[in-house]
Amino acid sequence: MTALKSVFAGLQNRLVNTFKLRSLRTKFILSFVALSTIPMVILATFSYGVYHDILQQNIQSYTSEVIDRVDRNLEIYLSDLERILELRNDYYNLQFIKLSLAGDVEGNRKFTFRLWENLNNIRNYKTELRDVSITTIGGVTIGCYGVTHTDLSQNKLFQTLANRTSKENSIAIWGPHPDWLGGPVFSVGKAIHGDYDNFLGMMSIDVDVELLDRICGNIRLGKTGYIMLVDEDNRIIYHPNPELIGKMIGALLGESSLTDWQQDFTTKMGPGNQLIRVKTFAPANWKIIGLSNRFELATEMQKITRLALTIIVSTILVLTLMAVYFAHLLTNPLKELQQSMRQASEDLNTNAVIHTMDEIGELSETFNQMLARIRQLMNQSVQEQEKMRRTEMRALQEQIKPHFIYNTLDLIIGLLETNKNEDVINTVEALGAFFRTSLSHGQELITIREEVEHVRNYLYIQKIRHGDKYNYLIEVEEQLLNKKTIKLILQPIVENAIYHGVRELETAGGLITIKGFFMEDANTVCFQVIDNGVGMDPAKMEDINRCLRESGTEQRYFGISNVNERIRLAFGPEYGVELSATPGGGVTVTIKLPVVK
Amino acid sequence: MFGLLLVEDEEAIRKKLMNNVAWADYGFEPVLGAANGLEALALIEKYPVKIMVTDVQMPKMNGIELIKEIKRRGYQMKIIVISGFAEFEYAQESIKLNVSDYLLKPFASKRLLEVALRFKEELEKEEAERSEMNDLRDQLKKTKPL
Repeated sequence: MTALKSVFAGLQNRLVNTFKLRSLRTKFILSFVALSTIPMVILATFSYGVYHDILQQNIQSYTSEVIDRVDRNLEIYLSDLERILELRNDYYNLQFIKLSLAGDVEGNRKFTFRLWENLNNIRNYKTELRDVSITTIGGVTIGCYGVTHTDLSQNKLFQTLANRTSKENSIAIWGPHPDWLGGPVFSVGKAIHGDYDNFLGMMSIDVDVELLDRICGNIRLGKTGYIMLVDEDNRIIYHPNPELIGKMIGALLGESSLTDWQQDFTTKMGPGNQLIRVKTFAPANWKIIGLSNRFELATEMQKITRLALTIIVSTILVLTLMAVYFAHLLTNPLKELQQSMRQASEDLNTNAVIHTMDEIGELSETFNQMLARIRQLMNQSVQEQEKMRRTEMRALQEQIKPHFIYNTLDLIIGLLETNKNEDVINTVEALGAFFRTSLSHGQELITIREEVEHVRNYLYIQKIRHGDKYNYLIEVEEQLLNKKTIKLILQPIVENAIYHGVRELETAGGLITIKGFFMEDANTVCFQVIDNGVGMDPAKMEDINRCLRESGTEQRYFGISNVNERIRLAFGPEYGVELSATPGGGVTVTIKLPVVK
Repeated sequence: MFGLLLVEDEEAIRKKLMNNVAWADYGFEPVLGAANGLEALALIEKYPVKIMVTDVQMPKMNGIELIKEIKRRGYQMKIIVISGFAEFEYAQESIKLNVSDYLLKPFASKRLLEVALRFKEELEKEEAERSEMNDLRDQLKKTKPL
């Protein structure tokens, strides 16, 4: 069971996967055809079944009706004969029997003649009557052809009537048998009783079996169906084919079927696919059998099937064509869009052509918008990169200001001339480190440690140049040092703090403090360059801050705006530089950066 | 009295200019230092400055402005410009202002001494010639018949 389930699941998966792999067009066609075909096939199958049942029922009820009619006709005929047989108690009859039994041949002559005449008259009432006769228990029979001696043991009818225990007035029937002329007849008789209800003999009528042909012969069930009669011994007593009369029914329909024919009406599928209905004709215990050919039903059904199949196939054909057409209508714009997309992957300057106003049209439009946005972003990116390079280059140029270099070198000469070798070593070392960081192999991002060292070297050199006018303090949190920053952001700010702050002081005692710490949210790195210098006019400070907010490198405040611009280009407009006044005098520059690992 | 004025904003370099040469031994007296043009002008007014050495880039009043102001006021002196700049416009400006010499940073102190001595000699020679001329003129006046 589990294995079967897994096999089924596997099959389903494969089916679904195969379906998934198909193109949209194929999926659409398959779905459309499946959706329209499946209900149609189900409907056709059901109606076929229903139609088949109705047709079969119709055939059966028709057959039943026909059988009933045959039954009724036989009954009517029999009741006619019964009425004739009531003549058995006629005076002459009784006299003839009594005299005959008494052996009074002479006395009986008169009755014999009269009776003979009567019997002939009766026979002439109906054409199919072959003989009307009276038989005594003495074996004497008087019929239309004269008086004969009969072997009573051979007369089945007589035996039946004689063997009845009580006085019974119902008729007895002897199935088809040859009469004394050899013709096939069946006999109907009634017992004749004496004054003490003693059995004296019988009156019987031989009927030509042709009568059965007359009742049943012209009945057709369908094209090839027919009615046949079978006697109580299962011998065929009537069949449209005379050759079969007298044969056992088993030979025709199969032995096995015989035992089941006890009910009044049963339906059997005989050999050769025959639809069989049976009714017992009670007075004679005969069976009226209606046979209709199932092939006729099948032929009828075949016609229906052919028609239904033609309709289904042509409908599927039409639906498939329609599905193909609709799929074409739907998928063509998609294919065009696909084409455009493929082109766009090679050349961003193409656009999808919009033909329809439906979802696909909207998709194309959205795609075009996306392309435009990509182009715009790419241009922007290129421009930003260019700008970044430019500002970086400018920052670098600022670093290698000739004034700074020549003055420092001049200072070194001065130190050498006065044999201050220790100071020379330190200065040259600081100068080397300063330029190493400035260049830093062309890398834009360096660690905060490197950046702080850079500004420390710068301050060392400047301090030597400018003497005791000012001092400096660097307080950067330890955890910050391994994070990254774009390079050369502190030095230009510190340079400003020196030249526009502490160096302008009339007296010594200037202090530049550099602080580095995490902001409260721990997602932002903050640097502060705080000087206690001469400070700045509030209007100018406001002007600088406005320039920084509006972004772009402002020539008037080149150093600080270059730092601000590079930070914004690298990390976004939420970062950058801002100026504020140091409480007690001076300027505080705050730099905000993201935490970059 | 041969006054020398050294104008340089950076303290360390100014000290180098003043202290790394034994100016007094070469007859420079007094040797003055100024941190900017304004300070320099104040000193020129007080002392007889014969040679001025000046940086170009300085706060408050830069070297070029200082030289212009000296010319305007009509002070006579040799002017030596020292600068890290070698740009053309500075050189041009200097020539226009009749600057005596131009020294590019960095330089050894003895270079400045050489230049200063050369100018001192020139000035002294001019002075000597002028006094000789004056002597001759005096003699001529004296010998001139009344």
